[in-house]
Amino acid sequence: MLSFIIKRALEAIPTMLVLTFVSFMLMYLAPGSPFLTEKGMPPEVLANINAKYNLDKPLLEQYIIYLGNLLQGDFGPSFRYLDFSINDLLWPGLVVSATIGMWALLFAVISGIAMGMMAALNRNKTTDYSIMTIAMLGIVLPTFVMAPLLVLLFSIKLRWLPAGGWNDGAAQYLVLPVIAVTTHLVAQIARITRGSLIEVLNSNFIRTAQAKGLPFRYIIFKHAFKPMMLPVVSYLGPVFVGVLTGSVVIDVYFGTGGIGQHFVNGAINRDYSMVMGVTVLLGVMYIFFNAVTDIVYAFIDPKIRY
Amino acid sequence: MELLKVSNLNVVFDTPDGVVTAVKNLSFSVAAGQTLGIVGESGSGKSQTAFAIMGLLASNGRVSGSVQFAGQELVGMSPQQLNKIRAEQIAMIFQDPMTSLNPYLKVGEQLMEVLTHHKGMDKAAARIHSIRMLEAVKMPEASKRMSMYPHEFSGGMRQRVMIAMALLCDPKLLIADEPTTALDVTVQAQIMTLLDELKSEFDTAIMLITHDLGVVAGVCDAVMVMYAGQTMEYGTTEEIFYQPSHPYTGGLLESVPRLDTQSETLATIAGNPPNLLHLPTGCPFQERCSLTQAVCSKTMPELIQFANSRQRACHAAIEKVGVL
Repeated sequence: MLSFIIKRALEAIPTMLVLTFVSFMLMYLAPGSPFLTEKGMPPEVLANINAKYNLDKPLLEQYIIYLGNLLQGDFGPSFRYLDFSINDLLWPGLVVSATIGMWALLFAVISGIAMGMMAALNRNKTTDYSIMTIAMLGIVLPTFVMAPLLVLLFSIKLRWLPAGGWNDGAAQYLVLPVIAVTTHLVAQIARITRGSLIEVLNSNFIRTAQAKGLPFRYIIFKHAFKPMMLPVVSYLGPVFVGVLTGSVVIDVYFGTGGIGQHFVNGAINRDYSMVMGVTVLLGVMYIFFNAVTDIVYAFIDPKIRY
Repeated sequence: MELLKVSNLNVVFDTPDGVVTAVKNLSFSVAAGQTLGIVGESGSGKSQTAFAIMGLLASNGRVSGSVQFAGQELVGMSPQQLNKIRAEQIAMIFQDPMTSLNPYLKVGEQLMEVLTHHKGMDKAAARIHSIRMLEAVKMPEASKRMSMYPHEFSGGMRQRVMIAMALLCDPKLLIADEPTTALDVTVQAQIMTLLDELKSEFDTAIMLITHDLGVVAGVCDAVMVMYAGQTMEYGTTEEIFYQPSHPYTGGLLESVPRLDTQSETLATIAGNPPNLLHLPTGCPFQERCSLTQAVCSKTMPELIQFANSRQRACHAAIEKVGVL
């Protein structure tokens, strides 16, 4: 297992090199520049600014300088928000987004699996149909509809919870964003779990367990739970990254200050270092969580060994 | 003494296309220590009979009739009560050892859980007993195998594990549902020899479901031939093999490939088993039978007893049925 982790870490190096190189080049190839304003500015000033941000150097050299800084944990200065480095902007935002994401995931995994199992065990009965109807609603309602609906109901009509803000992650500020993020996840996990458990319960080894006179509850948790979890885990791997890095919609509607906003703003503002920072962050997280998924897989399925 | 007595057993399935009768009015019994072979083509209701006895039918299946085991009625028994019978009194081995063991649990765990649940053993005792049972089914390096997963075993080894698992609680009846179908021919012979040895060692009655007449000849005391969910013929193994009294049995016996004849082609029974959704009136075998008469398409022949314990369900005169 340790050798697998080392192998995956080493494999990540070329992946990250290609990722940073391609996105760096693509970004600079795109027309426009962070300092092009409608009014324009005197050429001497522009030259000064370009020199300050190394934009006057050859592209490859710029890339190498960027890599060098990156290796020291420095994402560079923001091209847009002067006096701010990308580190100053990304990390607090990541904490906000990851906090919302963690709670949403935790809730989604627990309730999604419970709902899916209940539906599967009461297949084609009222319980099943009601759970699956709720799940379908959760899937068809996008976050940008859920978020304003939640604000409308709980903040404006009922006045129970604040409509937005972060306030250092105080519980009442967390509730609505977490619900908005988690609904879709709960629904997806419930549906996957239901299908998976129904399939597992039809397999021959479950019939063997029944023939052995084992209690039904024991069969579910001892014999069916692990194989049931396999599709759930493979769904969760990539979803983890998306959820932990938050979403633009959440940041816009609730003004939580997560990093979701930077994804879009960075690109619109031609904030080169912000786009690169977000790309690197997401890349590292994807590699990390894919490796975690593989490791969890090996724990569940004895046929998978590294 | 009759250990298992099945009377007028019916198994029907509600399917989207209609009601399928998988087992129809089936009656038979197994005596303690006896080995009964149940023979028939695929879809003749052999496995569904076994599942009905164990209470393992698919959820759209319904049972009627009676299954008496050691004086207890199994049909309609609650799952909790059935769980006391399963493994402890009646154990079952399945057709496909590749998929019948849980691939996500160690073999040892799958063995030990039977003992911890039914015998109240602690893990250490269950482990010792499980290893001993693996040794009884001639598993090499039994204690090492306990911590292995099913995919690390060959097919024959997995079936040995299944057999060991079935015999853990010393059941009075072992239902073996085509235990050798999925195995190589050489391994088949080993497994059948093993079953035969264990039968006398553990004094277990066996209900052996198979379509392999060679297997039947080797180990069974009596044979029941099934077709379309019904008994066609019943008799001792010698009687069935040397004096078949039903044209279907005759056809099955002729289909066994032989080396002592010059024939180039393999003998088969022409046609296919009937669709259980649309069974013909009268005898289900009429369309494939060489002795069909007018009466065959009108009424189902009754299962009649003759020559002590033999039974047959056929309109044709017994002399007309070809003897090999």
